[in-house]
Amino acid sequence: MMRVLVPARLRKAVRTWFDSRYISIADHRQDIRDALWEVKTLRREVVTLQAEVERLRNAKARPAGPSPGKARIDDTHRLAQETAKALDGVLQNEVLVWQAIDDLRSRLAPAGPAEQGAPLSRERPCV
Amino acid sequence: MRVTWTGGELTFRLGAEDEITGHASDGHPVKLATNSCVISGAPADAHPDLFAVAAWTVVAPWTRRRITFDRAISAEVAAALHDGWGVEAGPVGAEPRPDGARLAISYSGGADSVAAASVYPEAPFVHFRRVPHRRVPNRWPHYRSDVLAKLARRTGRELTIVESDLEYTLAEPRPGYPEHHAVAAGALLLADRLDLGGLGFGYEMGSRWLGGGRYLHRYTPDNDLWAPHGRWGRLFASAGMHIVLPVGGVSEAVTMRLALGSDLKEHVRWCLRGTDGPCRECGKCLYKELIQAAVERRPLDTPITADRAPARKWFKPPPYGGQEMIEYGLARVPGIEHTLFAKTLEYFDVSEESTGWLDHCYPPAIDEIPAAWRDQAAAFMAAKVGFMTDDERRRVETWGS
Repeated sequence: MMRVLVPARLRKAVRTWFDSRYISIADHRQDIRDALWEVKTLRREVVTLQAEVERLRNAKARPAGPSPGKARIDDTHRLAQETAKALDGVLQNEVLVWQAIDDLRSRLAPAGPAEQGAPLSRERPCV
Repeated sequence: MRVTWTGGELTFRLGAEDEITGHASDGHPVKLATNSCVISGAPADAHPDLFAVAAWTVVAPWTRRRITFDRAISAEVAAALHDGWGVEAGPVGAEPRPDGARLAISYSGGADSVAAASVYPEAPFVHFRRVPHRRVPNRWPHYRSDVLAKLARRTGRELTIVESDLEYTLAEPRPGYPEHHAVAAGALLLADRLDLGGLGFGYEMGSRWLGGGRYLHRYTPDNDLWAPHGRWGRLFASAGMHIVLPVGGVSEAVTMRLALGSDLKEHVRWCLRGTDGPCRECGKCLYKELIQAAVERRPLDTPITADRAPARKWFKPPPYGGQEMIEYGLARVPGIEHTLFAKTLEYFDVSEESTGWLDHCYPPAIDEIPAAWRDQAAAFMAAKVGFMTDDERRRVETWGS
C-alpha cells in the first residue's frame, strides 16, 4: 500500500466535501423515528379498517330493518296464493261475462256485426 | 267462437254454446284460464288459413259448433274443420294456401326433436319459447324456457324463436298447450315467410302408433293427433303445412341413441327445470335416465330414491304412458332389480328378445311422410337404424290388444 502525504487543508476540504454528500447520523436517527411513527399510524388505520369491514360484513348478513317473523312470511305466502287463485276465478268469470254480453247483443241484433265476423271490440276492464 | 288477431295478439270470445271446459284431442279434460294470448313474430300478411289454423290450436277445446274468424278462410280449411270437428267455420272466401317448399323442425331441444333434426341436417328450426302471460300470475318460475332457447341458439342451425304465452290460456291441468299442436302456432304464422310446406315434430313411435303418453295404450294407425289422415293432419295439410314425423317409426330408445350420437348432442336437454344440465330430480329425468342407461348398457344413475314422489308412479301396476320404454329399460339396465324399479319389474316378464323390436323402424311411418321428404328419411333409417321384420311389425300392430 502506498501512503501519500496530503496537506491537512486539502484533507479537510475533501472530508468536508464527502460529509456534505451524506446524511448525518443524527438525521438518520430522526428518519428512522419518523418511519416508525408512520408504521404505527398505518397499523392503527389498518386495525380501524378491519373493524369497519367486519361491521359491514355483519350488517350485510342482517337485513336492514327488523326481520319479519315466520308467521308474517307464512301469511304473505298464503295471501299471494289466495290472490293468484282468486284472480284465476276473475279471469274465467270475465270470459263468461263476455260470453253473456255477446249472447245478449246477438239476440238484440241478430244480423249485427257479431254474426258477420267483425273484429271484437278492444274493450277490456283491465289489462 | 269468435277469433280476432291484432298483430300477434289472439283474442277469442265464446259463443253461447261454447264452454270453458272441454277435452283436448288426446281426450284429456282441460279448463280455460283466459281468452287472449300473444305469439311473437307473426307477419301481418300471413295467409288467412295460417291465422285460422294457429288460432284453432288454441281454441279447439272450447269450441262446440261454430267458429267465426276475423278474415275469410279457404273452403279447404273450413271443410277440414267441419269434417274433423263438426264445426261450421267461416267466413269462407280465400284462395287456399299453396304448399311451401321447405320442411322446418319444431325444435324443443329434447332427445326426440334432436333425433328428428338429425334426419334433416339442412332443415331450419322453429323453437317455441314460453313467456309469462301479462294477466295470469306465474306460479311456475322453475320452468326454464330461457335455458332451452339458449341451447337452441347454440345449435348453429337456421333458427326462429317464437315467444308465446299461449300456454297460460289453459288453467287445468296446468299451463300447457290447449292442444299439443299449439306448439306449432308460431311456425304456422311464419310458414309464408319461411316458405314452409311441412313441419317436422319429434313425436316418436310411442306417440304416433302405440297410443303413448296420455292416450290410449293401444295400436293407433288412425291417430287423430298425428296421422296425416287424422283430423289434425288434414287440417294442417289444408293450410299447405303437412305434419311430418321424421322419427315416427322409431322408439325413444332409438331417438335417444340418435340424439346422443348426433352433432347436436351437446345441446340435448329434455328437462325443463335444470339450468346447467338436467335437474336429475324430476319424473321426466328419471324416465329418460332409464332409457339412456338401457341404451348405454350401464347401471341406473339417479339420486331419486324409492321414497320420493317421482318414484311412486312405478310402484303401481301398469299400464303406464311410454310403457314400451319401461319394458325396454327393465330388460336391459344391469342391476335394475336393485333399484327403485324393482317393484315394477314384478309386473313384467321381459327380455332383450321380447323388446328387440324397439330397436328398429316401423316402415309405415316412413310411407306416410310426404313424398318431398320421404326418401331422405327412408335412407337415414336404412343407414342408421334398420327396418322391422314382419314379426316385429306385428308387435307394433298388436300393441295393447
